[in-house]
Parts: sequence; C-alpha cells; structure tokens
Amino acid sequence: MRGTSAAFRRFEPVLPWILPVLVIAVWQLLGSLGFISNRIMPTPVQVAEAAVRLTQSGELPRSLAVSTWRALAGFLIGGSIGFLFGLLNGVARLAGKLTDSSIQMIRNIPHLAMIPLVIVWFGIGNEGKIFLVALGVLFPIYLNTLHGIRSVDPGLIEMGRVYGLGRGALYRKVILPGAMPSILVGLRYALGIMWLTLIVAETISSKDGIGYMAMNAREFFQLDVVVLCILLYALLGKASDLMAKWLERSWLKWHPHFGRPHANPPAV
Amino acid sequence: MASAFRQAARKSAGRLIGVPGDGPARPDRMEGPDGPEERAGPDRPAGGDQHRRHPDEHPQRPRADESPGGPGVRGISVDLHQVTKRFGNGPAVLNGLNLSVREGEFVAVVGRSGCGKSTLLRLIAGLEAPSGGVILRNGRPAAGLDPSARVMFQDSRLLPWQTVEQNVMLGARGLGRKKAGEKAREALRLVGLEERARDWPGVLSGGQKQRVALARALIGNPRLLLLDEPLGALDALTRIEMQRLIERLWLQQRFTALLVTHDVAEAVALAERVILIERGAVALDLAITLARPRVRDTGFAHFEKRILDRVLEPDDDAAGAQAEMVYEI
Repeated sequence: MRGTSAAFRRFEPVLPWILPVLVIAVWQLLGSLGFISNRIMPTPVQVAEAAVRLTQSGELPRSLAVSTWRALAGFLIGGSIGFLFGLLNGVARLAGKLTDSSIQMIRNIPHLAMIPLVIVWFGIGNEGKIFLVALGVLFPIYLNTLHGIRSVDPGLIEMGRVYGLGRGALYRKVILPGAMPSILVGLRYALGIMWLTLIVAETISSKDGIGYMAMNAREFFQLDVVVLCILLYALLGKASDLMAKWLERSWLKWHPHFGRPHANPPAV
Repeated sequence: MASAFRQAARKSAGRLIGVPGDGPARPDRMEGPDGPEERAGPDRPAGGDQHRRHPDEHPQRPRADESPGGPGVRGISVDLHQVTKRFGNGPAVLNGLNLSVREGEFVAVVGRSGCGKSTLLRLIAGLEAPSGGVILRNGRPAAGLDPSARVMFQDSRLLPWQTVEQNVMLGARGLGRKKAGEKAREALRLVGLEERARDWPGVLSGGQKQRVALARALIGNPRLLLLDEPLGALDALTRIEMQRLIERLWLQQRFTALLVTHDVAEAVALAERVILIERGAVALDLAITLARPRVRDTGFAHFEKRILDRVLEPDDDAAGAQAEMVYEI
C-alpha cells in the first residue's frame, strides 16, 4: 500500500499530461499512415511547422500580443466595473435596490448577440472587442462579489464591531476576505468568458488577432494554421486557469481547500 | 472615603472566616444561601471608582494578592433598571429586569434556554438596544458598544484568514503593530498557545479556538468581559481546563465578568453570584460563598442543588402543560 502511494506521488505531476500526449501521438500516427487526409486534418508535425513558420515571420507573436492585450484590457475594465457594483450593492441596500434589477436584465442578454451593433458602433478595431469582453466579464464578477459579500458570516461582522473595528477596517479585515473565495470563483469563470468572447468577436469581424489569423488561413485553406489557432486557444485557456489557481493559492492560503496547514507568513 | 472603609471591612471579614486574602469571596456580601433575593439596588458608593474615566490609567498588571475592591480591581459596574426587551411586536424577552453588578464582580446568569439570558448579555454589551428601561455601565447610560467591554461568543468567531496571532492582535487595537504583536504573544502564552501563533485558526481544535478567543478578549485589558456560553460546545475535560483558566485570569485581572451559561455547575464553579432568569426577570439571586479554588464538595453540591431545584420548579401553567404531555405519552 505504502509503495503504491509513493509511486503515485512520484508520477503525480506527469499524470495530467498522459492523455494529451497520447491523443497527439495517435493523431500523428493516423495522419502519417494516411488514415486521415491532410486535406481534412493536418498532423501535429505540420501544425508545429506552421507554428515555427508563423513565429519566424512575426505574425504569430503579433497576433498573440494583440489578442492578449484586448483580452486583458476588456477583463480589467469589465472586472473592475463588476467588482465595484458588486461591492456597492453588497454593502449599501439603497444602491442594490437602484441598480441590481437593471444589471440582472442586461445580464440576460447574450452579449455576443450585440456583435452587429458593436460593429456599427465601434467598427472592427480594438474598441468593439474590448467592449464585448468587458460586458461578458462584468456579470460573473458582479454576481459572485455580491454573493460573497452577502454570505459573509454575520457573527464575524458582529465580532468585528465588538472589537472596535471601524467601517474601513471591517471591510478590509472581515468582509472582503470573507467574500474572496466567491470572488475568485467569479474571476475564474470570467477568465473563461473573456477568451470565448474575444475569439468569437475576432473570428466574426477583425483585421488582426488570433481569431483573424484563423479566419484568414481558412480563406487560403491553410488548415495547419487553423488547427494551430485552435490549439492556441486551449493553451491560453489553460494559462488563465493557472493564473486563477495561483491567485487562489496565494489569496486563500488560510482556506483548507487551497492552503497548507501551516501559514508562516512574514512576522507582522 | 467609603471605599477605604469597605476595603478594611472586607479584609477583616475575610480573616474572620478564613477566606484567603487573594480570594474573590466577598465577605461583605455573605448573605448566605438564603434570602439574597430581596437585595436592594446598586450598593456602590458614589464616586467610589477612582479609575472610572481613564481605563488605561493603570497599565500595570494588577497583582493577585491585592484585596478585592482595592486598586487591583479594574472592572466597571453594570446596573439595569426595569429593562425590557422585545423583538418586533413579539412578547417581551426581558420584562422589567433589575440587576446590579459591582466593579470586578463575577456574575453567572443561568436559566432555561430561551429565557433571555443571551439577550441580557447582548443588551449589556450594547449589541442591542433595550425597548425600555435604563442600562448603566460604570454609572453612565450605555449607548452603543463599550470599547472597554469584550464579548466572548459560543463560537470562537476567529477570522479564518488571519493567523492565530493576528486574530489576537485584533483585540489590541490602538496600539502600534509591534506593541500589539508583543502583547498578543504574551496573551497567547497566558492561554498556553504560543506555539500556534503562526497557524491558521482552521487547524485548531474547538477548545484551542476558544482559548485564542479568550486571549483576544483579554489582550485589550477589558474592564467588562461578557461570556456568552463560551464553553457550551466543548468537551467536559476541555471545559474544566477552560473554567480554571478563566478563573485564574479573572483573579489576576479583576475585570467585571458576566457569564451566561446553561450549566449550573459551571456557574457555581466560577461565579460569586448566580442569577436565575425566568420569564424575563431575575427569579433568583444567590451569592456563592465558596472559597477558591473551588472543589466539588458538599458546599458546592448545596449551591448547585439550590439553583437546580429552583430552575426545575414548575411554574403553575408549565406544570399543567407538563401533566398534559405525560397523558399524551
């Protein structure tokens, strides 16, 4: 039993990669043996070649940079607005009464349905993409911030009052940390929506970015580039997921799900 | 001055009945087990509390061997006159309750569940406002929370995202970070948890969490400690340990303590006076005249039985209801 668990621990970091590597190997094998036509699906080696070619020409890094910039800008704008409204409505009853039902109504409009309108408003440049990403990201952050703040243990807030915490200290020390697990769930969800929105927007109407690269390649039937773009999305999604996990681990150290039992923060 | 006289009287009375000088027994209140119910209102001498205005005027630790009522007593007095509390349009939880607790006194409040004992504590803490009547803390009408009062709840209410040490430091607001850290470590040493200072509260046991909560309550040198069934959720052994700890710290620091509990034995073990609340008012007010450290001997059993008998004494209407219940079973 002990031996099994030791072996398990040693191979644990490798485990998540077994399946993807296997899929790629089978895919390459089927492609090389001619079971899958290269006209329908390029092999992994061809995709890798395309990646090298586009990196050397500078097109891939440029597209990546443009898309990442749009994603982050939209995320920051939408996330801040959602967070601020969530905070405000969670704290002030009046603000909640005034704005919550309007926000809920807007939330139920599929934001991608606004693409035609956005093209008319902003054209096919950056602004439209950023607007759409911000709109998509706003709601998960808003909802989870609001929910997190409302579900902070009232006993802890009462304790804070008994121990003389002022309003500011109460938010900083009790309410925000208490809402943090929920806020981070919203953040993780928002990161997914961020890429999804951007890719759809870039694919439908754009003059640069990864989505444009994929659509452009389709015009010239460069399937290797199209597949490369799709794989890039997977990697970008994974990267933002890792970022969210890292945030959870550093901000929720105290939480039994995320942290280690011993804190050892710097002495205060 | 009147307080000097009282002090002298206590000393001599203490010697007469062989109560150790450092004990909290209050010889001048030796009403005995009988007849304390008809006690008059506040019997504090006017102006007798010389540190009323400046809670931090005496930063030195009060020594245990100072006599009760002397300069070692840091506690404040609490007086309630005809206090009524109802929630919304419901029935009165407390109904014309009168109670007066003196500086440095340890009072336990017992009663059946739902009798309003926790409400009483929350009113004194300032967490709720009374619907009627007057609450005086240290002779002054209570308005809102008192910075010199601390509450210990049944659940420890530690912030899970702060370390044990940071949680304790919460009780030492107003001090610099360094000073607060020092005091926090000292308070943790007092409750025997200095090694867990850097841990998250989530990894502590229930008893350890309550010890941290106690350290947090005591670090600010409170003058009034309100304990709302703080040991209710602990196992029997941990409870006894905690009771001893609370008793020791009270003897050292001489704050006024008000303990709400459903455990009569715990009330007798800790308090100088046990108050029974029934139908929103004080139904029994009993001075516990046992020497400390208290052992569970016949004297102890006597007090415990007296209180329990009174608690279990059926009301007229309650008796009727009980008879019906028996029938149905």
